[in-house]
Amino acid sequence: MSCFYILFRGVETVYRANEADLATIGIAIMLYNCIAFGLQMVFGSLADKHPKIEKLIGRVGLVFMLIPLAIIWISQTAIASWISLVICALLNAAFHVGGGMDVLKESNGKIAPSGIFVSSGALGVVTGTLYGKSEVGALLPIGVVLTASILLFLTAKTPSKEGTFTSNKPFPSIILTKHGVGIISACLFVAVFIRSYAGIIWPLGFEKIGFLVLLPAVSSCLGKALGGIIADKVGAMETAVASLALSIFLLFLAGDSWIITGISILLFNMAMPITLCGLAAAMPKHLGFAFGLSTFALLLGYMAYTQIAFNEISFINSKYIITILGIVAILLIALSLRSKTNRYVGKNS
Amino acid sequence: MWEKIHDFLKREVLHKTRDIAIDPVGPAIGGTAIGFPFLPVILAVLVTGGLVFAIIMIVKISKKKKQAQTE
Repeated sequence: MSCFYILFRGVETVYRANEADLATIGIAIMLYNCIAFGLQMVFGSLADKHPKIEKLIGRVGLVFMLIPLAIIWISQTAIASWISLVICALLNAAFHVGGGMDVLKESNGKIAPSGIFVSSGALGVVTGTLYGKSEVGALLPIGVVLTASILLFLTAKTPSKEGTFTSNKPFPSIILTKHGVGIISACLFVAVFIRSYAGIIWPLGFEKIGFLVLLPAVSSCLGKALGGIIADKVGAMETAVASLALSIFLLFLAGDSWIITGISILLFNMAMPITLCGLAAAMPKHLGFAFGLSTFALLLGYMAYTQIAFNEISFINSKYIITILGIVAILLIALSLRSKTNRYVGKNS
Repeated sequence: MWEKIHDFLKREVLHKTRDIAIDPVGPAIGGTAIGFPFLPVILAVLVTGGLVFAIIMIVKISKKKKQAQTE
């Protein structure tokens, strides 16, 4: 939320002050995405190697977010916007990878906590964007960061080296296929890339007015959280494949119905925590890198969108493109993860 | 081509038609921005660099895992 507040406050500031043309604004947003989502892979690898970095990185990312917020609150100039943008992008990368590692380590083999952790981002994006475009100051994001920091220091314990995470069987509901780490990682990486790109070009057959502005973000948030919870109950592979297939089916039924569109977006996002935990299960001693790899795939999906934009794809075509990509994602997930039931069949036979 | 990209940016930035993204990646405002000729090259270098880093890491992890299994 704070990052998107800074991003859009900065965009509004430089645009209104006529200090930048549209190209500069485009570059600013691309710069933010590259730092915030591209660097998580590097930060994650560093945290995997150095326990001290791992302990601090998430906390630093959260608490120090007050600095760019203060900068943009005090000085509404183009230079302040650029500085706060770069700092907040770096801190966002640090917070995500640190928080993600802590959650993976302390999840007791459950996918749900990771799903809940990543789900909140979608709401942060929408609230931060709306707040950033409004005329109000940075008091709300500063208050949120301050409250979260206090809560973190009051309640969170420092995760132990291994946490509740066991390298041999990190997630009971995730059963990897016998393919090597390389193939499994590549398959899940491309599945995340597809979800990112398809998520951005998702056709909305209704006008986003009133509460419908929040619909994609709320659906995405609920989908990621529910994906983890359901995967823990019925199995990761089953949940991912069924939700993606049902989502594509509903995409064609949606028309201008916001309810069906919301459900199809929700279902499409259910695979998110599964692919993340799948990557973590494939490389259990490199959780930071695994988390960063998934965010790098998200970044590539966004970059693909900047090259093949929604505007160039018609409403109908985007449905077919998403269908093809969705089927590819299903196949890739099926190549990486095994069904829970198969395991028992294998045992009996 | 620049005109097309300019139009795209204008729609996205000014009218904010799809500025609230489904993903944490965020608002999709064009990266191949006008007036910045090296941007596509920079982006290509960043993407290639990221992919090379990812491949090297995955190969390393894969080797380590195989080694651990044989031991």
